[in-house]
Amino acid sequence: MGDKNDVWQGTLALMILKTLQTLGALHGYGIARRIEQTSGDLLSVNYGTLYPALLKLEQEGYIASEWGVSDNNRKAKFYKLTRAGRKQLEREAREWEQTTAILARFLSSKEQPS
Amino acid sequence: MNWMRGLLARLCNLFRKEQLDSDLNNELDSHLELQTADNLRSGMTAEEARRAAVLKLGGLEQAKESVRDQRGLPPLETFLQDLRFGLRMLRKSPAFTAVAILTLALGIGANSAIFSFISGTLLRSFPYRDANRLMILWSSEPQRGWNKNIVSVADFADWRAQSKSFEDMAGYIDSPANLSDGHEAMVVNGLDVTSNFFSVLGITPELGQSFRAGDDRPGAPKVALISHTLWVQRFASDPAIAGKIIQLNQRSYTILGVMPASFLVPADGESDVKFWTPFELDPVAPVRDVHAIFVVGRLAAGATQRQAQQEMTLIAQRLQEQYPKSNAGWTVALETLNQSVSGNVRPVLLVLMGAVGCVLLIACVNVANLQLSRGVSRRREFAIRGALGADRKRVVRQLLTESILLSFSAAILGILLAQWSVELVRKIYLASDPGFAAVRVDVRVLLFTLALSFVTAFLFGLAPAWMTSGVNPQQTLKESGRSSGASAKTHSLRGVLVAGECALAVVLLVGAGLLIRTFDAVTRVDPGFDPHNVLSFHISLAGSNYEAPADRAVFYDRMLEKIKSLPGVEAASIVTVPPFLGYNGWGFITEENPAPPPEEEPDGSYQVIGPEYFQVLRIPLLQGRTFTLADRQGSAPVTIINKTLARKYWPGEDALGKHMRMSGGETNPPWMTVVGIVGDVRRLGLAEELTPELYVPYRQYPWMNLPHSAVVRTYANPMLVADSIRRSVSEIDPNEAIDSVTTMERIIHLRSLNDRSFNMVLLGILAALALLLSVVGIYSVMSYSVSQRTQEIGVRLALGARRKDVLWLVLQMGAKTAIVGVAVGLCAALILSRFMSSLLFKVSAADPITFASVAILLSAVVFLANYIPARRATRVDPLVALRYE
Repeated sequence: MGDKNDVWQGTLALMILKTLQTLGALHGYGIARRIEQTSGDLLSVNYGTLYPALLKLEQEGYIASEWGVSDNNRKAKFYKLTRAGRKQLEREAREWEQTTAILARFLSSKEQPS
Repeated sequence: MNWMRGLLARLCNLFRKEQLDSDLNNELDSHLELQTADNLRSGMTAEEARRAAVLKLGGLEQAKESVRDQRGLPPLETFLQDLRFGLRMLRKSPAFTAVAILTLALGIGANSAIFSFISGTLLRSFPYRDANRLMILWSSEPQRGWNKNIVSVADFADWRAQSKSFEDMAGYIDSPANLSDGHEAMVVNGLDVTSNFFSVLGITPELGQSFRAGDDRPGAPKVALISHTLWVQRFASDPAIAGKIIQLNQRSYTILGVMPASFLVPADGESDVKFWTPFELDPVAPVRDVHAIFVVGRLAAGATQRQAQQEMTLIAQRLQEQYPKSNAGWTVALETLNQSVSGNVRPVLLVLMGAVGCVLLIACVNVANLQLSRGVSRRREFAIRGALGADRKRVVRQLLTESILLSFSAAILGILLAQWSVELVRKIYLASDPGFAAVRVDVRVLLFTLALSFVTAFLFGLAPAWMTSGVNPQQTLKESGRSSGASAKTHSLRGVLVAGECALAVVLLVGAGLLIRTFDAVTRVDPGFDPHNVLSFHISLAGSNYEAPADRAVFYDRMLEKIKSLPGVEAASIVTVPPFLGYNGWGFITEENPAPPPEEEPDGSYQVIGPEYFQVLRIPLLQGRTFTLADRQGSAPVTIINKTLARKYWPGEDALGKHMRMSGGETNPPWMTVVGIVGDVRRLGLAEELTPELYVPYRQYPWMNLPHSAVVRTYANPMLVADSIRRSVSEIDPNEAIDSVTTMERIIHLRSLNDRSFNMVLLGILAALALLLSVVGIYSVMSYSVSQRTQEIGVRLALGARRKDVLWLVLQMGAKTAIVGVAVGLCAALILSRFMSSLLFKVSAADPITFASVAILLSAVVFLANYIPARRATRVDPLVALRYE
């Protein structure tokens, strides 16, 4: 536990929001699968990280949940993006892009120290 | 904003835990099922699919735990859990809880209440600008013990002109007056002041204007300021009051303005003043040999009290040389207003504050002791918690929560207690002292005592946790399975605390005992007269009709005649001032020593009386005769003296028939013959020295002072004739009124017993509280020690020890501590009681009776507190005891 986890939690939240924007209402399992697939199975999402993150987003009002029935007729809790969530996603995505762009510029810099 | 929303959601979640839990379970189940279904679809067998899913998803319980942490507020939940547990622990040992809470509550409540009284009645603050720069200047004659005398007008003028360390000085003197409005006369208190009085004090009228320079010159127009109360009562808060006329002693004064209600007389803090009028100071021939006014000065910027004192001493020396006849021996003494007002009560204050501190200390020691004992008996509990993985912080937090619970309940109870007792005492004393109206629970003190009790509870609640936390839990667990008692360290600490408690209680009890013995001694003093069924009142005759003594004497003749004809009246007389209300000293010379040096001139209380004075007060005539109506203007001048005067100035001789003469400057009083000798009367108070006193008949004038009181002996309750007397006086002259109507018994009570009884009661309550608290403390510690040794006692009994031996063993254990405590306490009391010697009367500060009875009382009480648990110990069934943990 420590800073690493926080970063991970932050990015996980962004991934969840993006997933819900792309696919609409989705249950926890679906979200986990989508993140794993999109990452090319580089990430593995288990209960212990996913559900606290979902709960936090819900508490902050970015997503809402309700019980429903899945494709294969199983009862599951479905999450969907709220209006605040949409805005939050835009903001976070923008910030993330900026950060990565800056870092990319740093890392790709070819100049030698003078 | 989102974090607030999150917090709110978390708070709400605290109250629907079960629903959320089942929700979470369902969700995780469905997650698992979906994963399993996918696995099945990818071709695994049912068993494999489920297993892979479970493996992938990780620890189910851990996931739930982290969701719960995210869902609620872990610190709050821990706190609530601690709180629940704490309450359960406190409920489990009701005796401990009750004692600890009561002890703390009493400590907080009683101390706050008593301190509130001290600060409300004894420490009044003055509503003046930079009041700490104001000084009272006294004339003082150290050789004769007159340390705080009022000042002559001429000295005041010289001081004011010559001193540089004072910005300015003002003078004032009480001048009660008849306030009449044509219908009914009323006597009200007022002050005659110099015109700069209010500017020196730094207060201004709330309405209208203050005096102007020159208002105090002779012949200036008569002006007055009135008090807020008078303005409201007599003038219906008339906003256009300035310029109205007020009748004082049948003279018209133009009202300049209204002073605020907060005014206090500088030298004594008295608040009952209804009007202020300017002095008439004669700048040409100020009087130097009559001390007439109080002087208050404001220090110049940068000057200190010490500098001012040095300068004033020099000025006084110059005046001594310049005017040896009037100023020989006279110097100046400075005091701040607070010193002047609280001068007499300072020793009381120190004693009471010390006592308050002691009680608070005892209360804290008690709680510390209880917490220590409990902490030790809970060592095993802490060890188990440690073994189960609780970290030290968690245990400390648990203990803190319990302490908070304890102190908090005690605080609430203590605040209530303080409120109640302040209300109660205020009601009791309000009747006799209006100053009590202002008494409120002092918030600062309350907060201080609260903080102190919280800290004590915390510190000693935590101590056992720290002491045990260093220890290997395994060790503790093994040891306490069959423990034989607390460690030697905590045991001796508790012994010290108990001994300390005993010592403090002894000190307080000795203090209270000395005051009780003093009170007893004072009430036993014979005042020299019989105060029972005697009425006393004040009649000023300040009107312009009574400036000549002959006119006054005629008035007195008529008044006494009328009063004596009233039913129920046995005898009546005029007197300058009744005993206990003033001294009225005057210098005189005797035939044998006609020219003593000024500082050795004899003096005594000088009273102008009527023929029946000795009959009214039942003062015994020892030799000669009393006055008759024939002792009048034109007959041979006579005087009656008291035994003390006779012995002092005609030692070993018969004073009857000797001659003496009042010293009176230019008035040249006549030689008087001593025609009678009467018994001594305590003039200044029950606990004061006997003073020389001489009496002259009111029908022989001029007198050296004006008689302005009367005493009346009745057959029954003297207050019943008060109204008839009032009517009689107004029949003689409707512009004159009597006031201060009261009984001699009440005067004695107020002047000599009231303060003493108040001090005694306060210190008595504190001492009783100290005794109670320390007994509770000793008892709880002893019964705890005994319960710790139950097993040992069982072994002893099983091995054949007699119950008597066991009893002795236990008693001995407590006795040692108590003896040490009592001994230390007696020594401390011996040292400390010297500081209260000024409060004592006819009782030595090392009074053996008080010390012995306190020692016996405390030993007896401690013995009892030891005996009860000891006896319980001997009743133990050895079989039960051996199994006892």
